[in-house]
Amino acid sequence: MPAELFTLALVGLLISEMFVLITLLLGPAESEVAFFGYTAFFSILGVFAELVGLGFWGRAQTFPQLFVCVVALYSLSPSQAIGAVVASRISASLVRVLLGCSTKRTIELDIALDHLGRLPGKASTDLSSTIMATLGEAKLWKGVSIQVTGAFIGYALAAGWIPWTPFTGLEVRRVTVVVCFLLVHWFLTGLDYCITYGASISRTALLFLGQLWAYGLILAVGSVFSLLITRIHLGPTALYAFLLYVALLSYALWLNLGVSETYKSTIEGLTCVIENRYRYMVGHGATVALLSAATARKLALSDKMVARVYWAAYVHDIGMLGINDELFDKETPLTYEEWLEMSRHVVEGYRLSTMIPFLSLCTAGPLYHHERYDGSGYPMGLKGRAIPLEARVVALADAYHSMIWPRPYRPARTHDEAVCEIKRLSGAWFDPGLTDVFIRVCDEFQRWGIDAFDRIYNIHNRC
Amino acid sequence: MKSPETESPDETGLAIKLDFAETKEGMMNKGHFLEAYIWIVILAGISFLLLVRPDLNAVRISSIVTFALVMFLTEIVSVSLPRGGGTVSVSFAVSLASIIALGPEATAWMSAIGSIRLKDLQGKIPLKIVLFNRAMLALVDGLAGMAYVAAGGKVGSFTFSRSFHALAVCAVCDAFLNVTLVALFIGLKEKKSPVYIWVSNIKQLMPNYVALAPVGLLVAIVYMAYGYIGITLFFAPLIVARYSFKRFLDMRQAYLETLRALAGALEARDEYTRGHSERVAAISTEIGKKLGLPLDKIELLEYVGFLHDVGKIGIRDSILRKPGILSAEEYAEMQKHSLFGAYIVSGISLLGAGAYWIKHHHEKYDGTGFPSNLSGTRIPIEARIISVADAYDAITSTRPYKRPMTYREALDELHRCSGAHFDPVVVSALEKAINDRVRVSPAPGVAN
Repeated sequence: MPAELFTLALVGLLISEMFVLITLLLGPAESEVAFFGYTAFFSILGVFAELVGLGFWGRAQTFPQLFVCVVALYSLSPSQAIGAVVASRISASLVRVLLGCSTKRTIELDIALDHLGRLPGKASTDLSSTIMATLGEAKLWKGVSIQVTGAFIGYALAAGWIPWTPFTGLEVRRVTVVVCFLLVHWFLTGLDYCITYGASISRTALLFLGQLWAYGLILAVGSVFSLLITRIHLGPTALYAFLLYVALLSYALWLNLGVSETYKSTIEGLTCVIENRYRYMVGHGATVALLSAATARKLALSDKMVARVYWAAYVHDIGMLGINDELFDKETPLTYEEWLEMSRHVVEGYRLSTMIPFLSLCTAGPLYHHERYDGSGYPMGLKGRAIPLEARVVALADAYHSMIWPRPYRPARTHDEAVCEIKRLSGAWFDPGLTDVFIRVCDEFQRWGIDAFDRIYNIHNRC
Repeated sequence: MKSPETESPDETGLAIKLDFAETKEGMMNKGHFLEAYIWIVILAGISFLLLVRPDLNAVRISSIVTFALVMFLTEIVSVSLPRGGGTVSVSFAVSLASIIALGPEATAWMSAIGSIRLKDLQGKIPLKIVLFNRAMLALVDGLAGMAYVAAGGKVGSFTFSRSFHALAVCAVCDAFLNVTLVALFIGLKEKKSPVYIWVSNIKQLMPNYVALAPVGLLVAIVYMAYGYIGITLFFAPLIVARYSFKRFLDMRQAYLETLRALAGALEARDEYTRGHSERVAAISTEIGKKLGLPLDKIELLEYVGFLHDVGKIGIRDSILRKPGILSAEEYAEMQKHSLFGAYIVSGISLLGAGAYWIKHHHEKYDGTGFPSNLSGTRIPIEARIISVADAYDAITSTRPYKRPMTYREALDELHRCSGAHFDPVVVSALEKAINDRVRVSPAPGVAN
């Protein structure tokens, strides 16, 4: 698989770069104390940068950590800087792991789940094994490799090893390193996105071109900040006081994270409990959300949009709460009146989702997920592109998941039958542009299983 | 530094500066000890200020004024805490910076002037209290500064190895003095134990002081190296932090309101249970107050009381609204609602231990309840309270399977079952609350 080859290549690159680093360290010009001192300092800074970053959406979460790397690359010697970059990246990832551990629920339900229904917050493992698992993940080392490769290329350019760029002047050399680092990071991250999620090159390019401004901002602010630091020569006192000061700031920003995490956790809990009323519904919201978000990723939508699709899909069926329970157990086809009653769940779901501020952008999911592309759906009979994107994606995922699940009136269908049915209805019920992408997602879902699927698409972390 | 916003005794308890803005007539019945204390502190402050005039050769008046201005500005960006906890500002950082850079005498004067707030200037606070606050802060910051110097700290320069412990001593002194003076005030006013107020204040404020000490140190260093420009550099992040914190508190409040509305909407489907959670929450808080639970627990109890039956959204209507007796499987299914509710609430970090209160709110005092067969005091007290409140409201309201009872009959019923089903202490607290004519609005259909 291309994604795995790419990961292997990057990790291999990282290992060779580490060899070069060790050679540099063993050379006469380096002081070990300074190296470890700066490594420690920047790993702590990396922790705070991660905390600050958690207040942002999606890919922007890594930007404070990039800022820290820029500062390191600008102000330190090459080996120190690379050590600092590696340390800050690893400690940032470990912080994420620790935070993930701490937000596990304290009370788990032992509802008899005898089928695939992924309860959010399940499987709280202990801390040390989670850390070991994280350190063993290729994703972490891939990220480190991308950053270190950027630094190496920058140093190579600045030192004039590549003959046609003989940069002179200390400031110019430093800026070269930083610019190169950011450019390589941008390019390799884009490449990684394209390969891992299987998004098309044009769409990925569009997405990443839109992020160039952020990289420019990091470059500008980082350079100015580093310039100030290298000129002012703050002693260790001020540096450590600065660290605590940053801690205060990141605490304030991190608190805000806590509230949105609380919303997410509440919505997950409510949906899970509501689904428990109907035997065949458990895990439906979570799985449809996963499929929809993966489709959004394959379409190279922005992280904000992916999160919107995810949560719109999660709550799309909570309107079932207001519907008479017997209808769900009925084994014979529904009468017209019963069908009307069932279709009220769309409006009920919309009503409930408008009550929650966190879902204010996601109300289209519950309301329009039964609309059809040719306009014959309900409640409003919207046609074509008038149906919001989240609703079109959710319609696909909802249909697929409902088909591969048993229902009181029919047994479960196989994956191939479901895919056939979706292809047949593309254009009539579903958006044909989305259908192909969705079918690829379904195939991956079928092949990899739900846990690997979530890990690879990195949805739970970023939504 | 903190100061409360209202006077009511339930909500102060956390104060460094005091104001009694809302009720000026709260000044009326004070008691002689309190008056004496106020004037003692004011006089002590004034004499302290006169004794410790700064050496104007070493320190310029403009520096003092600058720091005072900075402190005034930090008061403007102070943040109100939830639960009437008062306001938190970062002015301690400014005091500390001034101690290091200008010395204790200048700091005493600076705090006396700079700690004034907009509210004081607008005349919302009685003059006595304004003077009290100024005197108190002058004393506190001045004495803390002297502690700094006595512990070996240098004024006008800072080296980590020499002066770090002096810094710690100074911060501890400042916190100690501040909280002591305020705790005495509140204790005399509310006729409560100052020690209890002191302890709860210190616990709340220590993190604040620990976090602000490095900021103050940094401001001092930059001021000593770069003058006024350095100080202005630190304002932007502080303001960012303040708005971040404020946004967090607003979002937290909005979240709790949302939860309330949502729980209410989920419940309103059923005419029998509409308003039930509201009433249980109200009754639970009354019982909690009568039992003397700490304030933060009571606030939590209100929200958890509101959510205690949210787990019922996982139970089918055919079971929930069944008019007759439930079969064994149906009853087992019904019991799951406390687990479901606990599951939902356990993901809400704001509500802390509330998940366990919901999980056990159907336990019985003799151990025959569900889900865990806990008995006696092993059941969390809040769960016992919710249990009694829930039962009381159920007894006094119309349900599909019975008629409502009057409150007398209800209390008799509760007393009959206390010891077996309910905690007798909680039941008698409820009785006291009812007899004190706490207004608990009757459920629809209740007969009096």
